[in-house]
Amino acid sequence: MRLARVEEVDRVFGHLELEVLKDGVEVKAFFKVTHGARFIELTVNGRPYWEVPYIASRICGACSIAHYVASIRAVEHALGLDAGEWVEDFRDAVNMVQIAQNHLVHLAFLALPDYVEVQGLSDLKSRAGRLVVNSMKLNAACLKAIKLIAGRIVNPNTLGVGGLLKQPFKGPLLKAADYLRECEALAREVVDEALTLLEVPELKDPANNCIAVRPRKTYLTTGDEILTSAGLSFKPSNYKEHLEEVQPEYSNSKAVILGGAPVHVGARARYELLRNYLHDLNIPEVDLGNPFSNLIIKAAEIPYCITAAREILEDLARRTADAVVDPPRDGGEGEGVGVVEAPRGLLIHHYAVSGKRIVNANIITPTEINARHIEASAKALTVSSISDGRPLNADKLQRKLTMLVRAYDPCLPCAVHVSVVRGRMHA
Amino acid sequence: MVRVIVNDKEVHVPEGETILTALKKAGDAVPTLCFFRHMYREASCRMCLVELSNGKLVPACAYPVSDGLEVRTDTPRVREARRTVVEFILSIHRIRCWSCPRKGGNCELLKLATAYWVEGIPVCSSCPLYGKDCLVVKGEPCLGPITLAGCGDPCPSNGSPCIGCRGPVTRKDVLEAAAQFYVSNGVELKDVLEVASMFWEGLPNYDALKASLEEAFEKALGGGTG
Repeated sequence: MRLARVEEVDRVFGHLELEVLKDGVEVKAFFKVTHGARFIELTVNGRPYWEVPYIASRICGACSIAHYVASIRAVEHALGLDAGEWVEDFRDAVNMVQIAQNHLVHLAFLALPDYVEVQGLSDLKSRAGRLVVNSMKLNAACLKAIKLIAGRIVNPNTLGVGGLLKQPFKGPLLKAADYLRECEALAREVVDEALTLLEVPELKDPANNCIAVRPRKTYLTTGDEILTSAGLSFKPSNYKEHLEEVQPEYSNSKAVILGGAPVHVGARARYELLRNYLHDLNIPEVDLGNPFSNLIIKAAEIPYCITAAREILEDLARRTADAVVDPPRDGGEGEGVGVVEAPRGLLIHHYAVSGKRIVNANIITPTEINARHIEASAKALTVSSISDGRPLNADKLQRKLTMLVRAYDPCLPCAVHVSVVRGRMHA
Repeated sequence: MVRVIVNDKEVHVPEGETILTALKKAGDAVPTLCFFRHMYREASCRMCLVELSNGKLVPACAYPVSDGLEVRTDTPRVREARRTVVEFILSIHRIRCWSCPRKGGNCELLKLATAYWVEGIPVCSSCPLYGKDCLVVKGEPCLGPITLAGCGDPCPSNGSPCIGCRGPVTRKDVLEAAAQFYVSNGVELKDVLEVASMFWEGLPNYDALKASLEEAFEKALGGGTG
């Protein structure tokens, strides 16, 4: 028996369906990604390794920098290259600004209308006009900073394998830092106002199983170790021993399980595992056992990211280094895995390089990892609101399920980068 | 002084002056290439065509003013005529943008081509990398010489080679000149085609383009001088 069905979730990136069925006594939830498959992993196969970041960053227009950085790091690890600390810090700063911008768009424009109980952005403007206008200003400032230091808003092109392709001089670095400093107060104001409006529904996470990248330095910097809620830590190169990819029949996207259980990545997972790396994140009282708390942590990360990125940029300007390298073209043999905390959580790029070409590619995106967790949460949410096998209030349940999906902020174009073709799993 | 009506605006200019003076006085700019002293003689480029009240298209830089003359500078006919003019100029233009001193933001033809939606000028025309900084000179298979300009060259200006996402230039003489440029800097055909295949392989004219490029490279390798 069908308990609930959300046919098309609006205000998310891409197309998906959510269905909750009752099979005998068991309740089952299905997170169906209906977005068309994109075969990026197949496109990458056979291309020269220096082209891969260009192609991989086009997986997603919203978080292209995270894909760019993960892809570059994977190629560097495969070839045994080291970009140096200055370049790594630079990448972190750019990634952080993008995380702030992504969170802002999600929080203010996509998720918040649910909690103010309006239809969309245009209605939200009549209820919280100041918040909407300030968010747009903040968004513009973040994009301006990205454009200044990374060359382009989407698919930035100063980042390269082994180093940078264009030297960011002291002036632009400080100017970008100034843009960020100017909007720090605005960011705090926006987030404070948003948090007063966010009253998240009660829900107990059925599978409190989180993973995140252990940062090299402070919170949200890149790293080369993955931490889990079970206290485990493993190298990204061993990810296949821990994370298992499965292809559900009903979805265009793969799903990931850790030790047979659903696993959560994202802001909430990061905060739960990496609190020790924080020095300044003002988090309001929050129940981390609730998957909806992801939204609150996301909001808190916005001012943190802006401040942290500004500090890194100022630091980089103080110790300007020659970061430009001639792109390595010698080729080599090896496999490399690059991990990075994308706005939506852990992102894995894995390439095998032979000679000058990529011979095998595997990309795992945060939405893929979260797919099973969304199903588990949707099931828990439905179970908590049915009695005698029927939903107490069908409309309310449907609305809550939609809100749940949005709280995870799934990115479907990212998730469908590979799929099953004629019954055979590719890459 | 005679009275001239420019786009419904009345201006007074001395007798014997051209429409261009009246336009300048009225503050209505029309594109001109006059200041290329040695390139275009007066009234030969026809870039400054304007429409008179009797429907005639005349070059503003040469047509003398007369009392009560009515001039329109932005009508569909004028725009269409100017577009054709840009196409004509481009067709006889010797495109060697990679070695042109006007590359990197000073190309008037590129500005006009962009304004009137004419394609055909390569990315090098707006690329700010000169001489030894040029990625092709460094030996990279940058597609700048054979990709359509208009994107604002975010890739080369940020140090990463052009990957041709805006589509190819298909003019044969440009491809031949570009092949000369590639060959003289030691860039091989297979590397160029490798990058080109990323965005262009699905184009309906890709096979023809590939054949032209192969031919051009062959010609360039067969003893041509840069």
